[in-house]
Amino acid sequence: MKLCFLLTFSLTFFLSGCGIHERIIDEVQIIEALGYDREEGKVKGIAIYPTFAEQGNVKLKIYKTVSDSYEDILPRMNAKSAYPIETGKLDFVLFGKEYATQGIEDVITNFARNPNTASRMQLGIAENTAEDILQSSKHVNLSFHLSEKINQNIESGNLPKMNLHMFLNNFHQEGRDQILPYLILEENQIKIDGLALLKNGKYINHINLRQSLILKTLIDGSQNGQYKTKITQNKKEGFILLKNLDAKTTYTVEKSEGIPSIFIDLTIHAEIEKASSWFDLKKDKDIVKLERILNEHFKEEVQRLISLAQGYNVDPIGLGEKVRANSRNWDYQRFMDIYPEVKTTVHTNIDILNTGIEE
Amino acid sequence: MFFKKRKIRNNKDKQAVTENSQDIGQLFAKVKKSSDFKQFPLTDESGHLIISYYNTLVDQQQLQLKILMIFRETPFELDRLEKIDDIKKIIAIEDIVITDNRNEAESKLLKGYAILQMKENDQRVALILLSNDKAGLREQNNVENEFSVVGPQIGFLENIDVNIHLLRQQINTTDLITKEVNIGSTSNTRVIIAHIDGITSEQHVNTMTQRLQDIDFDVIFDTSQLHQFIEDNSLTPFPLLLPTERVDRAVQALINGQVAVLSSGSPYVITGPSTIIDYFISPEDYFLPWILASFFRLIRVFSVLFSIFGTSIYIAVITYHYEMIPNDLFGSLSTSRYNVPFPPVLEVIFLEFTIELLREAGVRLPTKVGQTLGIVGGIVIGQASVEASLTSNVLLIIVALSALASFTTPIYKMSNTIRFLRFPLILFASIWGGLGIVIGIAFLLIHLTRLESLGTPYTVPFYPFRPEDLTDSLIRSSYSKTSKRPNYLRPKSIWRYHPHNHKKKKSDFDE
Repeated sequence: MKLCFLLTFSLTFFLSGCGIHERIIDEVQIIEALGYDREEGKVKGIAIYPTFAEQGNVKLKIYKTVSDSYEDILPRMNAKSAYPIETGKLDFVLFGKEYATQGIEDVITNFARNPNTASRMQLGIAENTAEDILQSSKHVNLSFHLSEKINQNIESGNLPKMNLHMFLNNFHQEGRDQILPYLILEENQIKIDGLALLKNGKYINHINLRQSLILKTLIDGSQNGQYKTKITQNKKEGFILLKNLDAKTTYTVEKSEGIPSIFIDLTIHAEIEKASSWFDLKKDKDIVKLERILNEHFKEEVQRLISLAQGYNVDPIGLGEKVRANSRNWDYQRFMDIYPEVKTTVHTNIDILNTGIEE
Repeated sequence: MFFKKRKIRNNKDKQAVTENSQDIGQLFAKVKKSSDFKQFPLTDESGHLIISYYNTLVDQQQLQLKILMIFRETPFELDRLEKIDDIKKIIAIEDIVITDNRNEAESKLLKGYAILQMKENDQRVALILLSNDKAGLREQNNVENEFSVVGPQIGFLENIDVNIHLLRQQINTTDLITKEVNIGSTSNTRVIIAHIDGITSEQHVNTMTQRLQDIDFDVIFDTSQLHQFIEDNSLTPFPLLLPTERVDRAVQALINGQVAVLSSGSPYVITGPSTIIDYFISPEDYFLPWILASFFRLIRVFSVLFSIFGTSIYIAVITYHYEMIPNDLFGSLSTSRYNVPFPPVLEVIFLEFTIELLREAGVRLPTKVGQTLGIVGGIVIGQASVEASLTSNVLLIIVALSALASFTTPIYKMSNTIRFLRFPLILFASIWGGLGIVIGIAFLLIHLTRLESLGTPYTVPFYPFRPEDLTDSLIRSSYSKTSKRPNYLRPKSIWRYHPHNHKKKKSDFDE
């Protein structure tokens, strides 16, 4: 008993130095967003850090530094900071388009290995440079607003579900390529303008926000997206804003020798949020007619998105994954070779549940 | 070695004393040194019918009415009284003992008996009970520390006979057995072990009796002292027997098959064997509907957990694990600590110390001053220390809440334990962060599961797991489910009552 006590107390007191070093909340410098750009062959790092001096008053400040490789960006910033820089609260990493074109694999895998970084961190691709975007976000006196912006758009907008964890999942698995939000500056405000398509961590191209809703329905069977479409009826042109209530996609892979063909069945339960005033939404007959038009429209759009992706030779939907799930002798390399020729048949079923209050 | 020698010498002294003073005369020589000792002859004839007593121990009224009146009133025929044994015929007092044993005379004299001798230096004396039990004791027996809103407010008193009376009022059966032992070489305190025959396991009664008889101490002030002597493990902060001042609580313990110990001069009854969950049970639980009672009992348990772990989790998170603070909270936590110069541990220890200080001072001070101090302490010191940047205001909330939560346990001794347990956890958290808390919890659980109360496991419905005894533990099930006595007490009869005999109520609409 005495020995036990002695052991406990000596462990407690003599080994206390061997523990993790203290990181007291107000004596570390957390960074909430980090950007990487390539500039004349060098890497430029931009970090946003919040300061909480007064109650309810957050000021965002910026560290910038240039290095010849990305690895020592944070140590270089640390040399500028009063407190040690900690990445534990980092939840947004932005890459300039130029940087992303050369590949973000190094950064991502190193974040993945660091136990301090959150796996629900958001990533993004900037239209020009990460610096532009982060610089303009400095004026918003709200901490963590960049990742909140993306999360909000995943919850109630057109972005499919994504974060570092899902990115890594797509990155490491065979049969699906990565997507990241694509950010632009509009009137000096940061806007999410669709999705960037990546392959093996390298930026390929991007799609717009309307296409990203279609991609969202194809990937997660989404909810809450909004979709504007132009309708021509009786030689009149009008617009309809659909609110996607619930969507479900099923994939059927037809196994055949050589090139597989995939049958996509898309069901969307939607609500008409806004419509041009000449649309008559009172009669069931008209709604059925409208549904038929929308069916055609979505079939075309899905088909167009797939052929677009096939054109870039990226697979954001994960068609490869569907094929892999259905094949005994999976050969990723072979699939990538035949991917542009994979045939898809789309069947859509739009169901308008609700048109709002009518009389 | 040193202690052993001392002990032997003490024993020798004792023997010497007893040998020297075998007769009554020497007893009187000794007690005459006290100013409140009275000795005088009852009749005119000196050296005849001498009464001796402690003035302060006897009831003056009884002395006058039952003794002086008889002997002083004329005419009193002395012939009626030839031997001392005849005194019983003359004096109308129930408890008269005739003895020539000097030791018995001494102990009875000190309990408020008067000694009556036929002649001076007579060895055979009559001991007449004139004691005034109630003198100096309080009359009010309202419950003070285990207050409840619903239910009876009757508590125990310092008078042991009244306490037994209170128990007998509720347990109206001859099966309630009270065993008396005298403990304390100086105080010679009456201690009563109560149990219900045919329900309580002999083993518990025997253990309790054995342990009480083995006590060697000088003055027993309170049952809480006895509690410490007879505990199974004295190296624990947890109370292993349950002290209560409520009659209904003691009765509940007895009918469940526990043993109760009462001590003269103590308003607290200790009951055992008890389990840890007993300390979270309030008698009020049995007076409220079972759903409400269970809910409040769970709140009590959670508040205790919060009270133990609140501040140490704060330290661990603020010092080591800032990652786990939600984004929205990060700003306010960081701001609140911005001007504080101390590390979180010192900050917490400073505030905990302040709260303990307030509580200690509040207990010592008179009620009216105490209230003022509470307000001054709580509001002024708290606010001022935040303004002076000595502590962060988030911590102030946590510390105040956990102090409040520690008092939700119905048993005061347990709330002391809970307040104490925080400090080792604070130490662990400050050294090792979250890992330290886990280590602390591991130590706590190991310690708890090893504890025993009168040989019964302390954590019993949970470890060892006894599912049938869970009916009245974390939740208070309805009375139809608590008809059996808890098994871990090994009662001789398992059924308290038979709920199934009641016919199902019929609704008027059934007919």
